[in-house]
Amino acid sequence: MELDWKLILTHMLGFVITVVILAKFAWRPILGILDERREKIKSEFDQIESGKSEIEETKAGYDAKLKDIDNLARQKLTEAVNDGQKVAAEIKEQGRDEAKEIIFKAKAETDREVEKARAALKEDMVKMTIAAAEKIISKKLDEQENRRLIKDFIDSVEKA
Amino acid sequence: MIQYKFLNNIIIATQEVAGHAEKAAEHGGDHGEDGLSMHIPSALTFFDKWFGTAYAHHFAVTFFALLIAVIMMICALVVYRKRQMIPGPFQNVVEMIFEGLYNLVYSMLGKDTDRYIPFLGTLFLYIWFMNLSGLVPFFHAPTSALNMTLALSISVFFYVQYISLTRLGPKKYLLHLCGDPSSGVTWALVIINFPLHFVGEFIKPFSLAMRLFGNIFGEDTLIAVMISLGVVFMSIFWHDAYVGVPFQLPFYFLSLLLGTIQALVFTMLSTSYIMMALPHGEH
Repeated sequence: MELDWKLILTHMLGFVITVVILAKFAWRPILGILDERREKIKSEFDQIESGKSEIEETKAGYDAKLKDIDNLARQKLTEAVNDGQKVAAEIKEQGRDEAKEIIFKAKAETDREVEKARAALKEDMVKMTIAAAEKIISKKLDEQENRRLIKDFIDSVEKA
Repeated sequence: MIQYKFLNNIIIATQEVAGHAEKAAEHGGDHGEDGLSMHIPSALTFFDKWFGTAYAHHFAVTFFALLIAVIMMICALVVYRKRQMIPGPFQNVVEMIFEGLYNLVYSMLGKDTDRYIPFLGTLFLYIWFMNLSGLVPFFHAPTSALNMTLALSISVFFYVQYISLTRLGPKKYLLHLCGDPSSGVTWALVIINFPLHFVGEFIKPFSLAMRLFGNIFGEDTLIAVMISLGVVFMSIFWHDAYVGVPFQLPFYFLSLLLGTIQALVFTMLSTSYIMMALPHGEH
């Protein structure tokens, strides 16, 4: 095959003209579409990113709130327990006081009863002594009889 | 006097046209099957001229096909290596082409697209680049040779047969060749159906090859002829001009269009052959 420069140069000239025409009328719109596509993809990614960070923020907010609620619940629980303990202590204290009072009252009652009994006994003793004296006086007294009488009297007292 | 000079130029130009035709006939002899072809010298012709070899330009088809394959591989590697979520201009172009191709094939193959898109996509891009390379100076469109297009279509033929055999299984494959007989009548028609389908399978790749070859060869020859005509036309007015009138300019745009369409047709027909070979394929 022989080289024919005229053919090759004509070929090249035509090619260059074609490229220029295409660059002017075809590549510009195509590049426009490409840019548009790139922008679209970019904006979509940006949207996704911003959406992600938004979700992250919301989640953090919810987490914090949840923690707060947890703390509050714990605090309330502690308070309730403390209250309960206080009430229990109060009830205990009150019970102890009441018991003391009851015991005190019972003791006083007992003391009074004893006192009463003692008084009654004394009265009885006086009566009996008088009765015995009457008996001694009314009867003829000898030493032996006297002793027996007194012994009887003491026994009766002991019995009483 | 002026008139006489003009007439003289015409006579010289006519002689040159005859010379070009003669040259073309000589070149054609080198190319074997395309006896009447007319080619603009490619880079390999320069190689022959400068290194004193005589055979480099015989390998134009192979050489440029390989060169285009290598360029495609480099492009793919560059895009793969530098891939980003937000594409740059180059990645953008490649992605757009791939997306368009994928959607086109998807409309025919549906869920099988992922399996066959590597072959079909490469086929399209390869043929497309080979078609368009005929427009670039110092290049030569490999698809303007029947050898190249036949090689491509035979690849498609074997691929389709392989898909058919593996997806349908040997038994169904044979039944498919017989026209899927179901009743007595259709079984009787197998005698007619089988040769028809059998020959059809071989005609498919042949028609693919002939169509592509005819179109691209025609375009190339047209452009070559127009360039020669431009040179001759210029020499009528200015005999020592270094460059002709670019008469081929409108045909560049035609070739851009037809080269794309032919690549698309080749790919789409291959896709439809694959679709027919698939189990759910309907004729």
